[in-house]
Amino acid sequence: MTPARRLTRLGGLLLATLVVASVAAGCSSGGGTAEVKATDAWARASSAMASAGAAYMTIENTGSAADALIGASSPAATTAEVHETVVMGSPAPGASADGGMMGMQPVKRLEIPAGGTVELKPGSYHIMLIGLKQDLKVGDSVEITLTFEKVGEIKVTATVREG
Amino acid sequence: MTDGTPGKGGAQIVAASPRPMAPTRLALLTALALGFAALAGVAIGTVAWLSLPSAAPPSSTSGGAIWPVSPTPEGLTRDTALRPVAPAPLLQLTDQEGRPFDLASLRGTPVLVFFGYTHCPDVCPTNLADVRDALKLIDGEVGVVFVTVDPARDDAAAMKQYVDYYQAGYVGLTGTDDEIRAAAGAWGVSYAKVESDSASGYAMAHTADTFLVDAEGRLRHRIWFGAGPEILAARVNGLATEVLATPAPAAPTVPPVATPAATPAVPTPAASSAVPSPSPATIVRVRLESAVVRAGPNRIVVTVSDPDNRELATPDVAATFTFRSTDDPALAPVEVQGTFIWVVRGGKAAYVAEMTLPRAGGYDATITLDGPAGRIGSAGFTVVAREQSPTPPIGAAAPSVRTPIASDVGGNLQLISSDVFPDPRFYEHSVDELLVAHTPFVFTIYSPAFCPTTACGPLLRYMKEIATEFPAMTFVHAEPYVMRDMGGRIQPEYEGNGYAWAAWSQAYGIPVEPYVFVVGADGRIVASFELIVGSDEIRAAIRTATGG
Repeated sequence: MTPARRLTRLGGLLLATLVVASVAAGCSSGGGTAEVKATDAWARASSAMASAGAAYMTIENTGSAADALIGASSPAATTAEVHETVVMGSPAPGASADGGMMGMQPVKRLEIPAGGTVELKPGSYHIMLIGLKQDLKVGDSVEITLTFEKVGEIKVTATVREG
Repeated sequence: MTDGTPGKGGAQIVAASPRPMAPTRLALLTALALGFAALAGVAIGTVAWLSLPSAAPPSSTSGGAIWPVSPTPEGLTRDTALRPVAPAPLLQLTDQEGRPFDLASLRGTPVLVFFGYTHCPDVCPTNLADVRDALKLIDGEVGVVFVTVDPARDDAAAMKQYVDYYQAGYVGLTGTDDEIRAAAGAWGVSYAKVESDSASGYAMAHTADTFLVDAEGRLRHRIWFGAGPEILAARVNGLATEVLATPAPAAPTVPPVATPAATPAVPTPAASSAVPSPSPATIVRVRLESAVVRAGPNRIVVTVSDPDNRELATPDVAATFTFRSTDDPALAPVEVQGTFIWVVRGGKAAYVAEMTLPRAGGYDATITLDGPAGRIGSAGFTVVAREQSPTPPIGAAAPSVRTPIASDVGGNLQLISSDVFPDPRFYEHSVDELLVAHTPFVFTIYSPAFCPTTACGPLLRYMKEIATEFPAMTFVHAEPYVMRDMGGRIQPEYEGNGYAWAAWSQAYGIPVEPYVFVVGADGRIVASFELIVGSDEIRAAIRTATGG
């Protein structure tokens, strides 16, 4: 099952949080407005001993100007960062990315195009919760503050589930 | 995810996004994937013994290729079966209780094996969750073994906390650096430490495929990351009914003399000795590196190692190849002495078999290694010769195609070459110009920065040395892919699950990179080299092309 499918399948379990923020995009050549919302936020149940957790969500920009996710923080973790899971290195000769190494890299700026949606999901973009302060138990809520270039800070509540 | 998904560096990857796509785009992707599979089919289908890369884990990924992850859309089921079926590689490490563990102790139940590390927030928990969900769909018992690739942080206690969290009887394995390196190598798992400025410290990039070992201890499937619980469960449930290919004729094996016998790092529990597995010291593993095998003249490259991934190809070990047609057993087998070549001088090496296959179809091949002190061993593999190859055969006219030259980019070679030190001699003439001028040339299609195989490394460096040795020869280098300027730094465009081939790559029909074509003054192909190229092979071809 692809991660996307899993999101759909478990969608019914979600206590979706929906936050909308908008701001005039002064620096955009078109003078449009970025309007960003984050929905379906969830974090994977995790032992604090795991030292790092992950949270996922859907970020949608219904405005007419692009915005970008440039940071995150959470009271549940010492640090939160936007990361992307990528394939690195050496797949078999001639093959696609299969067989390559799965790696992770910090993402300094995740663009949310005007009218576009970016999914943070397993095997792709995620909020990495570094230095978990407590176990993430199924049913718990985790507050996450997302920082966008234009609309500024948005708070989302991620529901912890098995994932 | 919509088109217009941001790529790395904020670039818009508008067309052919490699990310999961809407169902309406599935048909297109299917077509692309099938086309690609057709090209890559020979390479995938003929890897011998195990379909596992034999390269040692790289120490760093700097300069390595990076793709966004592209899970296979639903409906595109991939073959994960490993053929021929062979015993699983050794896995003897330390479990989460600090006890010696041998995979053989789990004989009698199927086992899912995967590699990762406990500081892994996304990939490993996804794998563990997929396995957990798969277990609910599987009839009967299944062992689950999680092996760390980060022994520096993952001692037995860390592994215990990690696997106990799942409360599912998982085995978590760790060991010394050397033990982990040997285990990963034997399983064809690559890993590398990736430093970043993240507050989480370093990350480990690692192969995240899940291996399925059957109750008899045979490695049966290698299941891609993200396949999901249904496919994992289906592979396990299908073990009993799966039709296994007729095993290749057993190759005679003689204890090797060229390499020291493997010493298990951890004593094997007595329980495992009930079903003896072949001693690793008696097994030669051969991997067919060539992607294109055709009826007619061929240059087939193989690499050989022992099950602990130690290189068996050395200058004083001779290799003899035999190819027997499986479609027409009456045909006399083709026997040929292999040529030893360095892939990386003093490091990785390979053998080249140059011979003519009399017809298209399948061949059972054998490689036999003889060292100074006698027979080392032999191994069987299969090749499938195509009627026609996608690349122009020897003697054919070299396709005339425009390739990028320095004057196209105002002399800024960084815009047409991913080589850190591009050699200006390689970007003076386009292939079409040289053909018109009847100038012999060496045409290298290769991406130093984005080449996806470990065999690629020093090719252009060797080519620069060769260019200096042969000042009368003209050399052309081109990146294999459509490249995009990312603000002074080029990066390949994506198409489907991989990079988009440039026009010249398509004109020459290359299914993999690197490729080197040597073209004579008459515009005909004198020699072509795929993937692994020995510099002396190129020198010899240049002498042929220039009549000297």
